[in-house]
Parts: sequence; C-alpha cells; structure tokens
Amino acid sequence: MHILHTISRNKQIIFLLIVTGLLLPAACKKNPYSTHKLSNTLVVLTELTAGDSVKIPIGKSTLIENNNTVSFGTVNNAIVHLQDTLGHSWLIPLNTAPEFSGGATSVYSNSQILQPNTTYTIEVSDPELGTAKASTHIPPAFVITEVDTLREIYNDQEMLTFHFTINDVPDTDNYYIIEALKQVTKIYRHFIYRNVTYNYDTPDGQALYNRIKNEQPPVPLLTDTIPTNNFIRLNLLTFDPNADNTLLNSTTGLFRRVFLQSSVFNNPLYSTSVSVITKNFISDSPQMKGKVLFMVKSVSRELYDYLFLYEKYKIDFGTFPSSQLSLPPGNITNGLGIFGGSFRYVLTYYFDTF
Amino acid sequence: MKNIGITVLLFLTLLAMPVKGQQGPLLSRSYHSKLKKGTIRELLQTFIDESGIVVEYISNFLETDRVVSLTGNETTVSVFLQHVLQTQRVTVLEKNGKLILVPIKPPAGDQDAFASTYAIFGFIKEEGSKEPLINATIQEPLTGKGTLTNTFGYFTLSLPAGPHTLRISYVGYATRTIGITLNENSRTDISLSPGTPVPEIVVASGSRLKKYAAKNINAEQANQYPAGNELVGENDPIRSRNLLPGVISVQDYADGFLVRGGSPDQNQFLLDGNEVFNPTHLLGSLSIVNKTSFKSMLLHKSDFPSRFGGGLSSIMDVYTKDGNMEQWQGEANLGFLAASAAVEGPVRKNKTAVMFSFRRSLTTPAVRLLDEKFNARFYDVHFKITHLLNENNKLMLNVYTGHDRMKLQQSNSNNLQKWGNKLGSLNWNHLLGARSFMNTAFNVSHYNNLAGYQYPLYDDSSDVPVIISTFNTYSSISHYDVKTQFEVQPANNIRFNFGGKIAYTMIKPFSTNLSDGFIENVDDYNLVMTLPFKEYTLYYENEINIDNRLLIRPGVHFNHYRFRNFHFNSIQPRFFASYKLDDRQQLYAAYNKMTQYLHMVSNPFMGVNNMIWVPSTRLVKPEESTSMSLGYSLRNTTGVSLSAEAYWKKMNNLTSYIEGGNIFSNDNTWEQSILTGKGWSYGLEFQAEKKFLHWQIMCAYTLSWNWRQFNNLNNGRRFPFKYDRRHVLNITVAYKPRNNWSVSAVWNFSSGDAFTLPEKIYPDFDNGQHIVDPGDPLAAYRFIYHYSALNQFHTRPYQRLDAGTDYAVHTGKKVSHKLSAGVYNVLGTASSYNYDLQASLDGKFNISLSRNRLFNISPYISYTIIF
Repeated sequence: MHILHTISRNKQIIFLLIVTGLLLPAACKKNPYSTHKLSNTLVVLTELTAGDSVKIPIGKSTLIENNNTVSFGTVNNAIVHLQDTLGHSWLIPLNTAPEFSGGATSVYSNSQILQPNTTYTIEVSDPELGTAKASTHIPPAFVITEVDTLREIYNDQEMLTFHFTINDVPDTDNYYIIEALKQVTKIYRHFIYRNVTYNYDTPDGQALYNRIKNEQPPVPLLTDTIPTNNFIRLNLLTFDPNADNTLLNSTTGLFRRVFLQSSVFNNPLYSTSVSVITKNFISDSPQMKGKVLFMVKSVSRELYDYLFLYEKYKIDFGTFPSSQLSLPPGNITNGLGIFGGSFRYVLTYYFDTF
Repeated sequence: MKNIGITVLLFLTLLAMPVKGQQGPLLSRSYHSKLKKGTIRELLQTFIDESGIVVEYISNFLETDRVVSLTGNETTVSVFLQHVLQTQRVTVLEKNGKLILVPIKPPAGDQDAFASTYAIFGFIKEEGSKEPLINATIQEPLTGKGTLTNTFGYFTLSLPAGPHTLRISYVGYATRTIGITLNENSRTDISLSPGTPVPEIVVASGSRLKKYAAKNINAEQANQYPAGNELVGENDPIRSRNLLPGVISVQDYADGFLVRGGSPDQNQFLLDGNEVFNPTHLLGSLSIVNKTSFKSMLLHKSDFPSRFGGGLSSIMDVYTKDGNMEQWQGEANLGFLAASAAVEGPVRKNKTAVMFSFRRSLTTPAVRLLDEKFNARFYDVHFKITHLLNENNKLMLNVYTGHDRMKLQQSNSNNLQKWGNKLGSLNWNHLLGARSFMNTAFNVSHYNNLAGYQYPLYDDSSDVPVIISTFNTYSSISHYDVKTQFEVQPANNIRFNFGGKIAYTMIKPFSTNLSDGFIENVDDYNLVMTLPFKEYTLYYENEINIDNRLLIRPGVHFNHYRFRNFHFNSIQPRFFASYKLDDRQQLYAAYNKMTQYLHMVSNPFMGVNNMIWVPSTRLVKPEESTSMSLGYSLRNTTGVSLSAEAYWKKMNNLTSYIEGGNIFSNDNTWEQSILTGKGWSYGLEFQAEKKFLHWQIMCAYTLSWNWRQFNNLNNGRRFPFKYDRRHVLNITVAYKPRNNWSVSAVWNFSSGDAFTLPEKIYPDFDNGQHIVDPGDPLAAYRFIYHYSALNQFHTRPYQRLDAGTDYAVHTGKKVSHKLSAGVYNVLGTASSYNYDLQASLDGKFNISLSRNRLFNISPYISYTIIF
C-alpha cells in the first residue's frame, strides 16, 4: 500500500529515470527502413481461354532497391506442367517465336485446345525461383443474343454501342468481363506467277513483280491479312448501374474492362449495353491496322477479382503514391500474378482498309 | 430534507475528509527551526519565540510531550507545523494574526445526526471580472466536507446548521477563507483573486478523491511551460495537451493530435459545449482558440462522463471567458505568425458583459521566409455576450467564425486547402434551487472543406509534363443540437447528473471535379446528395462517495441514431472509481463504451488533411469502442507528483486511413468504397512533475502498441496503425527566477511512424497478353507493384526542441507588457518523413526520403500589451 513511501523523493525521480532509460534503447532499435530479406519470385500471368490453344506467359519479379534498374529478367528454363481434372497432363514448352520474344514475360505454349467447364492446374518449376502452383476453372459455355449496334457521340467522342443480352448459365455465380481489342493484322502481299506464289514484301519478290507486272494477262497483286498476337486496347463506356465499374471511380468515365456479376443482375437473360470508343477503329499506320474484337467473357472468380483490382490499380497509378495502390490479389502459390480461365463470346468487325 | 434522508438510507453516510488546514500569509512565511528534535510543546514554544507568531492551542487536544524529529527541510511555517502536528488530530486556523490549533470534529454522522442540514450554494468567480471558475474547491476544513464547482462555476455544499469556516481554493488564485452561519439554504457567490497560491499546510493536497481522471488545465496551468504553447510566437493554450502522456502530435501536414491509438476523427472538440469538426489552423499546428479568450479545458481520455458521446478516443471540453462584468480590459498581441486583439468588459456593470477577440495570420511574409513553398493564411473572430437575467439565470451567446487557406507548392505536385468553421450557441444557466442546477444550450456548427491536388503527367520519352490534372473536392457539414443537463446534489456524498440531447447533422458531399487548375469557387461544384442524420440522447450518472476513501461514478449514455432507414440504438455504460490509499496516493479505474456515428475518411494520397465526413449506414456501421484503464497517482508536500496509468482499448468499424481509398463522392456507391475494420491499442503512461525553488520539471512518457485489422487489407492480418509510435517522451523544464520572467524548454521524442512501400514489381498483365494501350499516358509504366504486408516499415524517430522566454513589465496600474522570444524547432528537425518510390521503364528505382516540416528553425519574438 505504501511502496513509494519507502522511497525518498530523490530516489523516486531516479527510479523514473531508470525506467525511462531502460525503455528508450528499445526505441533506438527501430530501423528507419526494413532490413527484411527479400527474394524474387515466379510470375504467372495467364488467362486460359476455352477454344483457344495454351499460352502461358511466365516471368519473374524485380526487387525494388535503390538504383535497381526497372526491368524484368526472363524465365526460359522453367518446366511447365498443365493438368486437367480428367488426368490429362501436358508439358508446355517455351515458345521461341519472334513475336513472343523481347517482352517482360516468356510465353510457354502448345496447341492443345482448352475446354470449357474444366479445371486446370499448373505447376511451374524454375531452378532459381522454385516451384509455383495454381489452379483455375474455365467457366461453362454461354451465348449472347439480340446483338444490336449503334453509332453514337458522347462527350465529342464517337462510339459504337453494343446492345446485347447475356444468356446467363443458371444455378451458378458467373462473372462477366467485357472488353474490346483490336487485333493487329499483318498484311501479306503476294502474287502468283506461272503457278508459283511469290511474296511481294521481299526485295526479290518486289523486283520480280516490277518486271512482270505489265505482262499480259496482267499479274494481280494480292493482299491478305494474317492476325498477329499483338492487340490494341479499345476503351469502353458503360452506364449500367449493375456494373462493378461504379466502384472504380474513373474520373474520365472510360474503362478498359466492364465488370458484371450474375449475382447482381440475377436474371437468366440480362440485357445491357457497352460502348466502344471508335478512335482506333481505323488507322493509317500499318502497325495499328487490324480487326476489332468485341468480347463478352465469362471468367473464373479469381481472374475477375484480379482484373477488377488491376483495373483500379491502373486508374490510380500516377495519382496515388505507390504505397496507396490497391494490389491485384493473385492466386499463385509461391509466386505472383494470376492463373485464370475464361469462356469468351467474340464479335469481330473490320473497319480498316488494307 | 426527505430526499436527503432517503439518499442517506440508500447510500453510505459521507465520512469526514482528512485533516486539512487553512492557508494564510502567516503560514506562507519562511521559517527554519533551530531546534531539530523535541517535544511538541518545546517545538511550538521555540517557534513562537523565533517567529514572533502567536500560536494558541488547548493542550488537552495535543500530545504535548510527544517527541518529534524534524528533517531540516522545513522552510515555511506551514511545512514546519505540518511536520510537528502530523500525528495530532488538530488543524490550524489563521485568525486575527494568530494561528489557532483546533481539534478536528468527529465524523459528521456521529455529531450531526440530529442537526438540520442546509445547503450553501452559488458560484465561485474571479474577483473583479466575475468570471466563473471551473473546478474550484470549496471545503470546510474541520469536517473535510467539500465539493468542486462545475463547468459553469456552480457549487452546492450541504452542512449542518450553525457557524462554519469555508476554504475556497483554485490553482493560480489566492486561497480564501470565509465564515458563514447557516440557518437556512444560503446563496453565496464567492470571489477569488488571481495571485500566488500558498502551499497547503497539511498533506491534504493529494487527498481529495479524484472525481474524474480527466486533466483539467486552466489558463494559468496552460502557461506553466510557455515553450510548450508557443508556435513561432503564437501562444496556443490548447497545445499544452500535447505534453501529456497518451497524446501524440502528428506531423504538421496532417490533422492535429491523436490519443491512445485512435484516429484524428475520434477526438471530439467542444468549444463552450459546441462541437467543432476541425478545430485547427495551419493543418493542425494551431488551435482555433485564441489565448486571450481561453479560460479552461478538460481532456477526457481515460474516463468519459455520461454526458459525453461521439468521440471514441478523447473529448476536449474547452471553455472561453464570459467577459469582464466589472471593467473594460483588453489585450493585443503581435507575433511572427499572427496579430490578435481581444477586449472584454461590461455593457451594463455586473449585468451584461461582452468579449470580442480577433486574430489574423501574418504568415504570408513570415512563413514564406521559413519555407518558401508554403503559403498559409487564416483568421478567426470570436464574440461572446453574457447577460445575467437575475441571480438565478444567465444567458450566453457565442459566435465564432474562422477560415484557413493554404497552398503548398512542391516539385511534383501542388496542394490547395481551404477550410473554415462557423459556430453559434445560446446557453442558459439556471439555478433550480439550493441543490440543483440546469444548463440548456442550442448549438449550431458548420464546417466546410475544399481540397485540391494538382499533379503533372510526364511524357515517357522527354520527361516533359504533358498534362496537368487537378482533383478538386469539396464537402460541408452542418450540425444543430439542443441539449440540457441537470445536476442535483441532495447530499454531499451523492450527485445526480442527467440530461438529454437532440441533434441533427447534415453532410453535403459535392462532386469531385477534374480540371486543369484549382477550383476555388464552391458554386462550381455540384451537390451529389445530402446525408442527413438524427441523434436522440439520454444520459444518467451518479457520483457517490462511499466513504472518504472511495468514490464511484456509474452512468449510462443511451443514444438512438437514424440515417434514412437505418436505425441504431446504443447503450454505453460508463464507470469510474477512485480509491485513496492514503493522503498521498490514489488508485483510479475507468471503463467506457463509446459510439461514434461520424466517420472521417480521407484521401491520404493528397498529402493534406482532406477530410470528408460520412455518416454511419447499414454498410458503414457506427464506430464503437470499449476501453479500460487503471491508474495510480501520488502527490506529496515537496512538490513531487507522479502518475502511472495502464490502458486497453478496442475499436470496431474503423474507417480512417484506408489504404488505397478514394472517396470522391460523385455517385451513390460511396459506402462500398469504404473499408471497415477494427483496431486496438494498449499501453502505459507515466507522468512525473517536480517543483523546487524556481524550477519546475515535467516528464511524460508513453509506451504503447496500436493495431488495425481490416478483412480486405493485408490478407486480413493485423498491421500496425500508421501512427504506431512505440515510445513518446516529453521533457519540459521551466525556470522562473522572478515572477515576471520565465525561461522554458520542451523536448519531444517519439518513435517513427509505420509506413508501406512496395518491395518488388512484376510484369503487367496486359503486357503479358501483348496488349498495348496507345491512349495511356503512363504506358511506359508497365509493371505492378507488390508489397507483402501493410505498414511493415518504420520511419526514423522524431524529436523536436523548443525554447523560449517571457518577460513582463508593468508601466501603470492597469497596463503591462509582455515580450516573448524563443526558437521553435531549435534543431530544425523534420515533423514528418515520407518515403516515396519513383521509377520509369528506362530508368532506375529511387527510394527517396523527404523530411517535411511546416517550420524549420524558427526564431520568434512577440509582444503583448495588456490593458
């Protein structure tokens, strides 16, 4: 009851100073910046699409350290296994085609066609980065009907508005992502001379054509388009109040993707409309000529969640400090990124002249 | 009388307080006894011989042959007598130039059982100005019966019929003793004169049971360490709270102060009972309360009396002066930061008084000298009129308006911030009778806030800014309430406090505009929606002295809340108890449940206090907290006071400082944009103070842990609160060689803040699919940041040293001058550290550390004239 009575007042002060002195060194142990030991990890950025062949972009992270260059190393020695629930297993090799090289990720691919309503599991092993695993389910097939298009102008921007009805697969929660891309096409010019096809876009072919072009009968120069694996993003606009885009707070009103959940509209036939900005529909640049793909995708939950916060990240990037950005939630065990599945319904349009 | 009887039956009889003595000029004289050991009779006789002071006593009441040893430290008559008589049941009365030793009466229950009891009641006021004094003590020394004045200076004390001697004291004022004879309930208003208080004679200074754990700071106490109040020459009495344990003052670029791990919005600030939503100038550095109008403040952070609600972490209850009822007086101040003036005086003597204060910043030239990037202006005007309708009724009309405009130009961004408060209140004090008091008030509080954030976007190849974008956001909040509170004290050992409040609050979030430049005209914003809500409050509490060692104060605060179709009832039990271990030491404990319906969400990326208030809804539930604390205090006669307190607090439905949050309320989805989570904090607080000769030293230390947990953040794992400062230490020293001269210094040290920074990047998803966006101005930034945990890093520790001196001279009977000089932030240390990450695709990472401070090493000088 009278502990402090036995301590003289000078001792009380000394006691307090000792207590304070004991506590202060703990404060000094705080590091101004963490000394956590960090290491790089495997990165998987995959959207398995039903009806398409297997293409799995794989990369690695880069540690943030002062004076570290902002670039990504390649992962070309990984062993990639893909497996479905029926027990089929594929070893996916590295695709060394030029169109897949030079990027931040290496593409592992094969010609196996992916099936809807199927679960796939991936295992990526790298001698340096360890083993990463993930699985996803490609949703079942669905269709869209009652497609109608309309040219409109909104805020001085020309748009092509798509009205359509999603025939939602019942009894499951489905996650829809709508996006529009322009698939860049390579123009292939050729001519047929004496039953032999020559490539006009080579010096020899061009020289030959210049020599024979005036012969009779005239030799026509033929043009063909070949789709590449390069795409151009087309921005979208939606006024659908059920779209999750209302949570994204885009100050421009434009989005890269439109997000819809069947649990929100709760109707087997859901009609909505999405407008595509037509700015890049037609291009004079050969590198931007191509076909317009308007895609309605039913995607796996984890892909939906990842892309939704990825969209938010892209909107906030440059406005928020890096520490305030919403990070996309991945599903890669012992790695970063996303391994998701989708079934897509595609409408294709050509606007460019070749 | 019947009520008293029932009360006595229901609750235990009030026992007499311990021995206390009366102070006076004789007792404060210096005295050193040459005799170090002797009988009480010998020591008293030696005292009479050496001092020439007559001491009368009846030897039957004293053990005159008891031998007493002195320590040699007795320097005054009061301390000498205290040591000689500490074992005797006598007290000392000073009367007619003599000291009289009189026996202590037996406990009141024994002697007064058949005597009629009457109440002496009234107000304790400052001599001359008639300014009511808050928490002044009125006590009968012989029985120990006593009470405190309430926040309006009112007291009531029940005593047996007959003659009584009452002792009235208040910190910073000369103690006064009066004699009364009670034959009926008696109204007595008592005046105290400002002056040097005399040390108490008996070790009773710490013996009065704590009625609450709140720290009460009046104008005199707030100025004990001037360096702690001075902000570049502007004296802000509210800043003295920052010296207390459990309180941290966050960096100057944020909003003010935080209490026990709570967010800034969890501190409710009441100015004369009216809620103020942002009570600061200069981004929290300076309070809106002008020193010249400040009277007193109570900071509740351990216990919350039942009448309070709405602030989870603290209640700042600040009172301003009513105005001088006797004569006109004024004060003018000129400093580096602002110029201010205040006048007060009677419109009708002893009937109607007014108080008017005005302050305007001079920061445009002065602050630019200190930091050329910073431009801030503010002003405030305060007007108060007090009118005594009659001796039982008083009306007070209070009007305040203040405004801030701040612009900050940085290399990569510009900020504009404009905010202001408009307050009005009408208060009615009414004495219902000898033992009951009522206060009714109507309050209006309006706050508006405009924040703009401007930033450039750079061309990838040339690093030339190609777009300058500005986010502009504006919001306002209007609050109206009517409240009434009753205090009934049927007997000295019990008090009933009860009352109610009806409040209506309207929040108006406006559209967020994106433009090339700042939008300062509020008419250019469109109202998105209105968010009105209502609150109905009832409260009740008892303050019960079980005996002279134990006080308890159980209570409950009930609240009904309505926002659209969302209704919420909150029952908030409160409890406080204090227990006296002996005349020097006390234990106290508190338990509180609190509910808060207003949430403050912010856009932290904007770097300034971009506060947006939102109400509780079905999705964004009311914030609730449960807190407990246990404290110990010691105060002895040699000027040493110690206190230690342990606390634990849990908070639910927190919203503040959401990471990545973006609450531009431009649609009806704002609720879904807000993440809610929980938090908890616990810690230990110590405070020690020592006064000796001309010195005064105070040391306050806090050891605390503060956590947050949000289901949608950090994978649901807990993470440290942004302001999780493990250690906070304040050391304050004041030296007063003369009454008109003081020198003081304050050193503050605290651990650094927690912060988040990405650890790694990985390739962009669209990039992986070979998708490019030609319209994206940031197309080159093709990577995703990743961090494994929130707030896992800590900045380096903070410290700041302030020093200053005050010197006062009188040049006339009513005119005095005060010169203050000093240096704010002597070491030029940072008040916030910001770690930022910059990168470009062709470049390299750069983790930059910026040291922000509103004021660098800032010498100041200010002049005050009081007339």
